[in-house]
Amino acid sequence: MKFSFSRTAMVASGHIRGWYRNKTTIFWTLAFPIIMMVLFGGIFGFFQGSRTEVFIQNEDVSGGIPSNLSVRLVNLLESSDLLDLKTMDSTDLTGISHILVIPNGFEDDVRRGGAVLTLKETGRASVGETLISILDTMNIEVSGAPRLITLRGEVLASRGSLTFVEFLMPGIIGITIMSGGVFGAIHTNTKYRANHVLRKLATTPLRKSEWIGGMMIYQLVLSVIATVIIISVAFVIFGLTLIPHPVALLVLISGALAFPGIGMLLAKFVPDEESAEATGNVVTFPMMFLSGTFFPLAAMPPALQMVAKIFPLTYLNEGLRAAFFFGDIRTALFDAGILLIFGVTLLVIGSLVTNWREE
Amino acid sequence: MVIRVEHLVKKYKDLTAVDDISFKVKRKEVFAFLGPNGAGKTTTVEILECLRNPTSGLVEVLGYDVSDKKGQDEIKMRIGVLPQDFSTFDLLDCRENLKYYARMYGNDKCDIDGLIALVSLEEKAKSRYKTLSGGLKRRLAIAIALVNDPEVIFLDEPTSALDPKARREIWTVIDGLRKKGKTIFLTTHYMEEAEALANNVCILDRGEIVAEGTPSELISRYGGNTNLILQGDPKDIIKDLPTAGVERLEGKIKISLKEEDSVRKILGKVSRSSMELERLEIVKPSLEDVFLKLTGKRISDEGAVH
Repeated sequence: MKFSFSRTAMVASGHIRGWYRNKTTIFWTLAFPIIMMVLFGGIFGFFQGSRTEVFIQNEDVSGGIPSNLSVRLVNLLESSDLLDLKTMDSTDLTGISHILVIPNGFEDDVRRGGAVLTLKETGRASVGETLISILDTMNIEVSGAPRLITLRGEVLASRGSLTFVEFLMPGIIGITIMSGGVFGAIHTNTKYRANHVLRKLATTPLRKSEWIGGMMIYQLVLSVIATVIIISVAFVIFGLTLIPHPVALLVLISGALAFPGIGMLLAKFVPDEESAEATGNVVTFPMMFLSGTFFPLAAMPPALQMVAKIFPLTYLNEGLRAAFFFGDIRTALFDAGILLIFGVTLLVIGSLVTNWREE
Repeated sequence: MVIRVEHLVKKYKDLTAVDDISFKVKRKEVFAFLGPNGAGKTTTVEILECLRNPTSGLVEVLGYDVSDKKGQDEIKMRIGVLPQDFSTFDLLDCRENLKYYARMYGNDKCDIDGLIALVSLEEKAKSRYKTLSGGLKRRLAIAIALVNDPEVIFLDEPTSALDPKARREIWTVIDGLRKKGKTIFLTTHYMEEAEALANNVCILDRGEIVAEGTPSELISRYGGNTNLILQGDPKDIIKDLPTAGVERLEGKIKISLKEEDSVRKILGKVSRSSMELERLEIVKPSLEDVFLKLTGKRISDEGAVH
């Protein structure tokens, strides 16, 4: 019999209705991730503070000693307490969003009647306004006249840094999609095996590929709904905004396809529902903590970073961040590709080892 | 001929679940597979439903070989199945469940309301499956087996774990299906069920068919005599009775009747004696006696042998 989309759609619709009519699954797939995001985002976002990091690149140096005026500028910026000043001590731009360049000859320029500072930014958020207001103070202090020192904007070719909430939100979406996929597949396979729904369906013209296809559509719908809700909550509570780019949807779809295969395999080799779910936890827990969900991979020892590279959740988290905040299409496409290859491979293995018929 | 099975054998590793059985099921009959748990009933049914492969032997359903891929597609479209211990989607209501399975056959014209009426679930049509009682759940499951208007219906233990009232309601539904001209393949470990519903019964024990025929044939062949049970203090009457076929039990006597008129003779003796008759019972043999006679075992309500 030919593959029937109508049967596949009915399978998906059955799963979706079973999902939203079950309070427990609604809690775990929607409420729990949101609670986690608000809780962690609130706690760590608070400790992180709200001052923006600005790196100072002082080029007004002669004989290894910075000019008087440049030192006064830096002190002034520091005393304003609005910015978190850092000294630029290497050429590595990783994690840097704002650089203030004090040009060579700055002091002389000021004496001659006009100097220009360069502010390099990634373009996501600007500290220009803050700087100008501080500079105006200095202008008046130095000369009594405004606009002695002016500011020039420049684009910084760096991914910049993320606030904690920005970092966290894609991770929360990642673990939601992961848990939904792994546990959804475990649930549909063990429960319907135990109550003989699968046996019944095997006596109908429904094919195994249609059943699995229906489960995938269900996972996709679930992932999109969860993502939209998580993004909305992040916007309302933390004022988080992101770059709307279709590549984000591609990462999302690949993510939704990546995880059900794991659940199918677990359900196949662990017969009853409860122990299969326990095994699901064993698999998802390490991924949750080691895939850059709550803290960056770079904060982990190199050995664990290697381990993280084999976890699909790492690619989902990174892909979503690249798409949401950096518009980094190449990285997002690469991550989506890894997820797709991983997901499809597991699904093929899973469907080969899952017997539709009995022995 | 709807089903033809010849020399069917099914082996699992070192266990022979079905050991060289042959039988035929005719159109429009209720055919019952009767036997305890583990006798091989479900294995046989699942082979007929194309769920399992036979180890050897010929199995044809509606003229198609169950081992043939094309045949399986054809068979699946034309049979309806109620698996053993089946429960359907908890959070879908009766109508939604029926629509779900109807769609599996591409049957969007399925008369959902008609099926709901057939199993008398009109008032529960919008109730979710998990809120139904055991008997109603089973009725819905039977309706689900009918969504493709099948020619042959396989009902695997359709009344197991139901209370007697719910069981009788299911019998009414099954009898209604028989009257509509459906062929029904029934497995059960309840003797009364086979006796009440089946035109033909196959008694299965440890993978083998031990007897086959209509319930009345089986009873007259293997059931033994009708028994007359007299309850009360037998006193001296006992010595007037023929010695063969009389059993003295606690507070009663069981007399195996040989000829048709012997009841009258015995009752005559009772009335002439001083016996105080508290209760008199004529017990006809049933399939239970047939099973006991053939296997030396009884089947409990749960389907175990003892």
